[in-house]
Amino acid sequence: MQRASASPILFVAGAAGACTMAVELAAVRLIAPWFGASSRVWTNVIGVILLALALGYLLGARWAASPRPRRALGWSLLAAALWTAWTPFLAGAVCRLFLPDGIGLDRAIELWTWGSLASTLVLFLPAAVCLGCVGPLALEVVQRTDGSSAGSAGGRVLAWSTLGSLLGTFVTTHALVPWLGLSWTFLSLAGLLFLLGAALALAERTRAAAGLALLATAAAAGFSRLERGAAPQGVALLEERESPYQSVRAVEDSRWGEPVRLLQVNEGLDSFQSVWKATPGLLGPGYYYDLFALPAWWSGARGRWKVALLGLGAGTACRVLRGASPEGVELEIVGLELDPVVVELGERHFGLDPRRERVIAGVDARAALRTLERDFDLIVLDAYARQVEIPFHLSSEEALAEMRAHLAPGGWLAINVGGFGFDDPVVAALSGTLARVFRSGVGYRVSASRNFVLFARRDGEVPVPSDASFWFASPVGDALLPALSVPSAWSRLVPCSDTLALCDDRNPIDELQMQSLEQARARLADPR
Amino acid sequence: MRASPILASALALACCTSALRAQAEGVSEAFSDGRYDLALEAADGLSDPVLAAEWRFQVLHAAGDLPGALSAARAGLTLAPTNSRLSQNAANVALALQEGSLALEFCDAWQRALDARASNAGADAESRPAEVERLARYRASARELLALDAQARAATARARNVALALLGGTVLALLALARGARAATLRA
Repeated sequence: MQRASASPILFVAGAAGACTMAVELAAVRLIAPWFGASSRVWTNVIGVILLALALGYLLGARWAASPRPRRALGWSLLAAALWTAWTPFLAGAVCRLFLPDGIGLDRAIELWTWGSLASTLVLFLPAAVCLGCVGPLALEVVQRTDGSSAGSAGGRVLAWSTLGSLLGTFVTTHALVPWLGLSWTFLSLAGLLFLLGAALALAERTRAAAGLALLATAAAAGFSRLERGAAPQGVALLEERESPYQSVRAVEDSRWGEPVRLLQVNEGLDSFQSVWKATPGLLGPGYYYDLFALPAWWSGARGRWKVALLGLGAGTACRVLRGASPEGVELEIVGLELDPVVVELGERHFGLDPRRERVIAGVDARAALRTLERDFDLIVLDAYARQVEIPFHLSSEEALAEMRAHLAPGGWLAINVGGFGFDDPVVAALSGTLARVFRSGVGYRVSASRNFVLFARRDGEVPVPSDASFWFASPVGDALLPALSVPSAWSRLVPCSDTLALCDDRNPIDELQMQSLEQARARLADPR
Repeated sequence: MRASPILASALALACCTSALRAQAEGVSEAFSDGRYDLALEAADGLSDPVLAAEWRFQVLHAAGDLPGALSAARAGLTLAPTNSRLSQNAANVALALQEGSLALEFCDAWQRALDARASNAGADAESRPAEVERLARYRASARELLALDAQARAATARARNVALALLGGTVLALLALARGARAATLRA
C-alpha cells in the first residue's frame, strides 16, 4: 500500500516556526511605545516565548497520543491565528493597564521589568503556547502518515521548523514590519496560520471550528489595529514609519510658540532623537547639541573644520554647527547613521542636505569609522540604542581609542551622555573610560537637562572656566559659557581603574543605566 | 540664560546695611555680566547667609542646575523658615523636577511664611492675593504629581502580581504535564 506524503505537515511545521520568530521579533516593537526596547524588554520577550514553547511542547505531546492528532494540530493553528490576529487590538489596553498614561518610566523604574513582563505574558504567551503544540503534533502526524521512525520524523520536523524560523526572522525584520507595519504583520501571520489550520480542520471534518475561527479572524482584520498614542493638541504628526530597527515618527510641536520638530523613536519614554528649529544655529537651554559648537571656538578655528558625527540622526548637529561655528570656518561634515529611515525623515523634515553633508546611512558607526580618514578636527559620539543606552560597542575603551586614532593632532572628541550628575553610574563609567584613553578631559553638564557632554582632546587640554581660553567673545559664548562656568556644571575627568573601565570584553552599560535611574530617584527624595 | 535684572535689583535692595549692599551689588554685577562662577564666589562671601542662599539659588537656577538650586533654597530655608521667596522658589524647582512630595513640603513652608506675614499685613496687601493664588496652583500641581506617584506604585504592584501569577501558573502547568508524560511513558 502506498503511504501518504508528509510534505504538507512538514510545511505546516515550517510555517509555525516562521510565525513563532515573527511574533517574537514583532512583540518587542509592539510594546516598545510603552516600555521601550531595552535589553530587559528583549530578555522578557525571549524568556516568555521560550517558556510558552516549552509548555506547548508538553501539551502537544499529550494531544499527540489522541486518536486524531491532525485535528488537534488544526485547532492549535486556529487558536494561534485567533490570538495573533487580536494582539494589535489588545496591545494598547494591556500595556496601559500596567503603565497608565501620564506616568513616565523614570517615575516607576520597576515597570521597566515588571510592566513589560506582565504585558508580554498576557499578549504573547497564549499564541506561543499554541505554536509550541505544533512541533510534537506534526511529528506524530508525520510518523503516522509515512510510518517513519520517531528519529526520522523528529529530525525532519525540527529541520523544517528551524528553517521556517530562519525565514521568519529575516522576512519580519526586512520586509513585513517595514512594508506592512506592525498591525498588518500580525494580521498576515494570523492569516497564514488560519489558512493552514482551516485546511487541517476541514480535512478532519471539523467545519464548525473552522467557521468560528474564520469569523473571528475576519473580524480582527477589520478592527484589530495597534492604537498609536495620539499626539497632544498643538502637536502635528508629519510622518510615521517603521524601519528595520524601530518605529520612527516626525512631529511638529507648536505648543510653546516657535514650532519645533522632533524625531521620536518608539513614541515612548519622552525622548527624541533629533530636533529642528527654523533657524540654524543654537537651539537654546536644554539642548546638548549646542555644546558641539564649542571646540571650534575654543580652538580658534579658521578654514577647514572636519567633523564626524557618529549617530547623525536626522541631522540636528549639522544645523547647530552650520549656524553656530566661528566665521571663516569651512565645515566638512561626515554623518554616520545606522537607520536609513531616520536619514530619509531628516531630509524631508529636518533640513538634512545630503548634497552638502557626506551621509553614510545603514552602517554601524564603529565599523564605518574604520573606513574613514584620520584627520578629523572633531568627532561627536551621539549614538543611542533602544532609546536609552549608548551602544556598548561604541562606549568601550577600545572604541574610544579608535575614535582617538581618527582625530587630527589637537582634535576633539565630544560625547553626549544622559545622567543625573557627575557621579551618576553611566556618566562616571564613561568619563573614567574616556580619561583612560585620552589621559584627561572635561565633562560639562548641559543647562536644564539630564545630559552631559564629555570633551577630550588628542594631544591637548580642554579648557575650564578658570582658564582664559575658556572665554570667548561671541553670541555663542554669551549663550553657552555662563551656565557652564558654575562649579557644579563641570568636572575634570579622572581615569578609572581597570575593573570599572568599560571595555569590549565587559561593558555593563545597560545595567548602569538602570542604576542611574534608581539612584536619581533616591537622591532627589533626599538631596542631603 | 541671562540674569533677570529685576530680580537681581530686588535681591540687591533687600540688603539693609551699606556694606552688605555693596557686597550684593558685586554679586549682581558678576551675574549680569554672565560670570556665574564669579557671582557664586561673591554670593558665598556675603555676610548674610540667607541672602547668600537666595543668590546661590538665583545663579544656579539661571545656570540650569535645578538640583543645585533646590539644595541652595533648602539651605536658606533652614536658616529662615519663613522666607516666602525661598520657599516659593524651592516649590517651583521641585515641581520642575517632578518631585510632588518635596513641592508640597515647600508649599507648606510658604503657607507658614504667608501666615506669619498676615499678622503685620499692610506692606504686601496688594501682592498677597496673587501669591495666595499662586500657592494654590503650586499645591494643586504637587498633588497631581503625588497622584501620579500613587498610580505608578499601583501599576507596579499590578504588573508584579499579574506577572508572578501567570509565570507561576505556567510553571505549574509545565510540571503537571511533565509528570503526566513521565507516568504515561512508565505505564507504556
